[in-house]
Parts: sequence; C-alpha cells; structure tokens
Amino acid sequence: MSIRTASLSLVLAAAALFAIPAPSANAAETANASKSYEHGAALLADADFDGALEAYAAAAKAEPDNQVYRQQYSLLSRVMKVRAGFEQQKNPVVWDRTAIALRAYYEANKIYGEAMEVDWQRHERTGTPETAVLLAESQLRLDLNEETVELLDELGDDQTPRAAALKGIALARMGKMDAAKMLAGECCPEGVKPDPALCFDLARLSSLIGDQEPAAKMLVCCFEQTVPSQLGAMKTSAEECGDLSKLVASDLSEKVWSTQSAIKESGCSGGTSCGSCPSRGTCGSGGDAKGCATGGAKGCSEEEHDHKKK
Amino acid sequence: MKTTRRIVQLAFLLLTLIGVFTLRGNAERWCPFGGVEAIYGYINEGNMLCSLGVSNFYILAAVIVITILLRRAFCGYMCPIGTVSEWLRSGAKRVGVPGIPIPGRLDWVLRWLKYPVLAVILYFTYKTSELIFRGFDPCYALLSRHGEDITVWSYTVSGSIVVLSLLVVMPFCRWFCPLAAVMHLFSKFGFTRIKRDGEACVDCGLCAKSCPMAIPVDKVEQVTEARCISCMNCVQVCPTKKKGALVWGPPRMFGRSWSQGALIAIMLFPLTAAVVAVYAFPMPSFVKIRGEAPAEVAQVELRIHNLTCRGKATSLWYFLERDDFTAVPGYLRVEAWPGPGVAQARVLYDPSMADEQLIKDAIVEPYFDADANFWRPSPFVIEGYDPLGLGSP
Repeated sequence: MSIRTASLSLVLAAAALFAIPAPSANAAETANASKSYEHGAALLADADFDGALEAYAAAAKAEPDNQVYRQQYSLLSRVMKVRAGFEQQKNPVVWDRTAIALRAYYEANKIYGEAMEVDWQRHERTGTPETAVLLAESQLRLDLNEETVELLDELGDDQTPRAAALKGIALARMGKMDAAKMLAGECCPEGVKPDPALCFDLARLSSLIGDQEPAAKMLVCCFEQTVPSQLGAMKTSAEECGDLSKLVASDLSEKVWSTQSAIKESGCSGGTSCGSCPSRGTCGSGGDAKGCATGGAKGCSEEEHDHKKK
Repeated sequence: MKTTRRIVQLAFLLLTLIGVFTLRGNAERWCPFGGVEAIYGYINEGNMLCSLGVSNFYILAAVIVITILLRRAFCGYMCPIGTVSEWLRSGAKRVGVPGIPIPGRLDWVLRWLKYPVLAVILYFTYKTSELIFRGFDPCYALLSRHGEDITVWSYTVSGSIVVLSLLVVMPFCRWFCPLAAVMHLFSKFGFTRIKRDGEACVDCGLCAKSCPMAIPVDKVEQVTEARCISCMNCVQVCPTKKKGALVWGPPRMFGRSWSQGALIAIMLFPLTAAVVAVYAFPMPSFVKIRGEAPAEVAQVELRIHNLTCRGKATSLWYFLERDDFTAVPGYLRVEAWPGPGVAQARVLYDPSMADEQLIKDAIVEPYFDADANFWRPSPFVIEGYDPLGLGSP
C-alpha cells in the first residue's frame, strides 16, 4: 500500500469516526426528557403546578429542539403568572376573561378540581344559566351528582337545553331513570340544531338511560361538528367517558367512532403542507371567512380573524 | 468555447449546490420563476407567496435583461436544470447511449407544450395563492433538500426528465420549462445573435447538427430564434470559423462579432446588480399594518425561529394583535422576511403605548383565544431573548 493510499485511508477512517453520532448519549437525553414531561403531566393533573413547572423545564432543557416540551413549559409558566394575578384582579371584565382562560387550561389538562373552583367563583359573581352549566359540567366530572341537580334546579324557568341534559345525566347516575328520561325528551326542542357540547351531553344522557341508538346519533352529530384538529381528542374523551361506556361496548361504536369532521379547517402547517390546506387560497389575506373554522390554527384569513373578533 | 461554457455552467451549478446544501440557503428565494409566480399576489396583496422573497423579483428582472441582451443565455450558462440536463446527454453519448432523433415537425409541436404548462401553473398559483408547481418542479426536487411540498410526483417528474435527458438533449428546456415560455417574448427580440456569412459558409450542416435547440443554423442568415441559448456550439464546430462563416455578436449595425468573454461579462452585470439589490434594497416579503403611524415611531429588529412562510408570518401578526393579557396597544407595523432557519422581522410601534419587552413577550408568550376557547402556544423563538432560560433551539 502506498503512503498516499494509507494517508487517504486514515483520513477517511477519522472522518467516519467523527461522523458517527453518539447514539447512546442522545437516546438517554431523549428518554430523560420524555420521563420528565410525563412526570410533569401527572403532577399537573394533581394540581401540583410548581412541581409540574420544574418537570416541564427539565424536559425542555434536556431536549431544547422539542417544540412540544418548550411550548408546554411556556404555557404553564404563563398560566401560573395569570393565576398569581387572578385573585387580585379588580376589573370584572378582565377577571371574567381570565377565569375563562384558566378554566380552559384546567379542563384541557384534567385539573377538574381547579376548574370547578373557578366555575364556582364565576357563578357566585354572575349567577347566569351559562355559568351554572359550566359549574354543573365540572361537578359531574367529579361525580358530585346531587350537588349538580341542586344547582340546576335553581335555574327554574331559565333552564337551557344543556342544563336540562346535565341534570338528566346527574339524575341517571343517581338511578332516577324516570326523571332522567323525562328530561331527555325536553332537551332538544324541535327545529333547533344542537351544538357539539349539547350533542355530547345528549349522547351521554341517552346512553345512561339505555337508548344507545339516539346516543350514537347524537355523538355522530357532535363529532361532525368538531373541528378536525380537535376531533382526535374529542373521540378519546368520549371513549374514556364513563357515561358512554354502554355505547362504547355496543355494536354501534365502530361506526360512531369512525365519524369524520364535516368542518373545513385551516391546518396551518407553517409551510410543511400548504398543498392540503383548505385555506391556502386565503392565507395571509382578506378572504372567505368560511375557509377557516373556529378552533383552526391561526394563519388563516384576516376576514375570518375579524369575524371571530366581532 | 465549449470548455469556457462548461466552466461557467460548473461555477453556477457549484454555487447553487453549495448555497443549498452547505450553507443551507433557500434556493427558492433565488429562482426567477418564483418571481413570475409571486408577481400577481404581490401586486394584489403586498405580500409574497410561501417563503419567496423580493429577491425573486430582482433575479427575474436580471434574467429578463440577460434575455433581452443575450437571448436564452440563462438556460445555456446559468440554469442548474439546463446544465444537468445537457451534461446527462453529453455523458450518455460518451458511453455509447444512442440518442433519440426528434423529427423537426415533432420538435415543433413539442415546443408549444411549455405555454399551456405556464398557463396552468400561473392560473392555479394565482387562484390558490400557493406555489402549486412545487409538487412537480424538478428544480424544487433537486434543491429543496426534500422540501416541504415534495410529493411522489416531484421525483417522478424529475426522474422522467433525467431519463429523457439521457436520450435527448435538454428536453425540459426545449419543451416543458415554463420560464422558457416567459422568456420567449424577450428572447425573440434579443440584441445579440449568431450571424452566418453565406459566402464563407460551405453548407456542411455541422452547425445545425450541433445545436442543442435543433435550430437550422445552416439555413438562416441570422439566428433570431427565441430558443437560442447562445451556447455557440455552432460557432465552435464550424470548419470555416476562421473565415468568419459563423460569429456571435450584435446586430450588424453595431458591429461584426463579440467574444464569448463579452457574453459572460454582459451576463454577469445584471446578475451582480440583482444580488447587490437584494442586500441594498431588502424590501420585506410580508407587511401588515394596524392604525395610523404616530409622530414618533420606535422599531425593534428581531431574528425569529420558525418564521418560515407567509402563513407563519400571519401567525406572528395574530400574536402581536392579540386581545389578551399581553395585548400590544396602539400603532403596529410588521415587516418580515420569512424563510427557513432564522428569519428577520421588524416591528414598528408607538413608544408611548408599548415597549420592546411587550413586543417580544407578545410574540413568544402563549395566548388565550377566547373564540376557540383554547390556549395557543407560540411557535416563535426570538434569538437572544430567552425569558424562560431554556437556551436557543
């Protein structure tokens, strides 16, 4: 072998050596980050915000390129700041907006105790049918069925279809099937198209009282009206919902859970797949508000944004 | 002449490949056809499509000037697809792969294909405000590093062109290239041309045989065909070139012949001007304004991760316009240059109502979308701004 060949071989070998990554180090960091993140999610569900923040921070630092860890840490950090100023907020409009924001976060992260606390405070301040419904929702999550019935009874003539549905669910859980069935008949007036939340509640009620076919129909209605980006989470939530266990176990479940959303949504990918986005024609410009659904990612039409702001 | 052209082609090809694969630049920003695709949207909305920039317009202008002066010399000297395509056939010929002779009539018919290709691309691009051609563009397939809109079709089209290029000289450039369709009008009235002296010519036909664009050079006094790429193959193979049977140069009233060096110099001038203009006149690709500018306006320059395209720039605008705890009041103007990696943005604001910290927090902090009832985490990271102490991605 000539010196030239030997030298070239050495250089190539050295280059190959440096080119080979250190898999064990990277894999270990990824595993640690994942562990920290999962630990954080578990702490959060137990309303241990400080512990969760620490765990999310560890995950984000271990894997700085991971957008999810970074964003969740940033989000929790933000929420904690908002929480810190929440009680001292004097402006009622700002207070209410903050309460809604916090509740949305608690619900999304299954911190139902905190969600109920916020709902109580809102209901105490305003006492509207809407706040009663949200509070009833939280109470049902925590199996406070009697309290839910008591709360919704106070509405009297102001009872909304959702309030009736939630009351029916509470009664069905308490074994008062006749009363629950009566409410099931009253929840959805003729000619009124139920929104996704009402559809979901009616599905739960129907399933609890043993009417799986109407339950399936209502759940399909709910899924169809859910935006595509939230449909997966919605289906999981439905599957895990104890009130729908009979429907899940029935023959109808396969058909129901294969329902697709009927809503077109801007799936702003930030450029990764503009070709499949239904809002590509109006991206970044004033355009058709229908091209983008509420709940879709931002990056859709200006007009849609203005429409939502109104 | 051929060697000189090969060197120039190699230089441009290497420049492109290094820029894309080593320096991780955005090749789309430098594509002249990108300028054609973006022009309608820019005039209509003041914003560029996807991750294009105003550099596309400068390069398009340079290519048009080059075409007016030198016909389709861009194709013959600069375009990476033209270079690769030509070299493939050259290489195939050397290893004995026979070419497919294309009859003149068929070639004439095929040459018209590029016009409906252009029309379809422009129609759907303007209608959808999206770079619809990406999914089929061989240049995008070559230079996007398996980019965002790569599809099976991207590689199918590219693969077909590669195979065809082994058998036919520059088939994409001759028959399908939409930029060639745009250049046609300018090239038809190109300043320089190949000139043939009928008296010195011995009618050997070698010039026509050597022409990659299948121009019947031996039958005309001057090559004013729009498809001439000024490669000067015909001049090189001419057995009587010393007698000046074939020369390249301006119209007769401006002189007899110019050298190939003159072509290269003329070509480089508008190109250099375009590159200088990109940096000297960096117009933003995305602009959004809210309110009237007050007497005193402050600005902050930012370098932002994940500001990759117009959609993300619109997201940036929504984050700044938010109506929650980190609302930025007063006048706002955003100028952005979206692109892969770290992108530049400039935010102008009313300093009596907002400050730099508020601007930055509005960009990076999650916000609660009350209409959708959920929190939107920010995809953006500002270089040098790390309020959470996580370090840069």
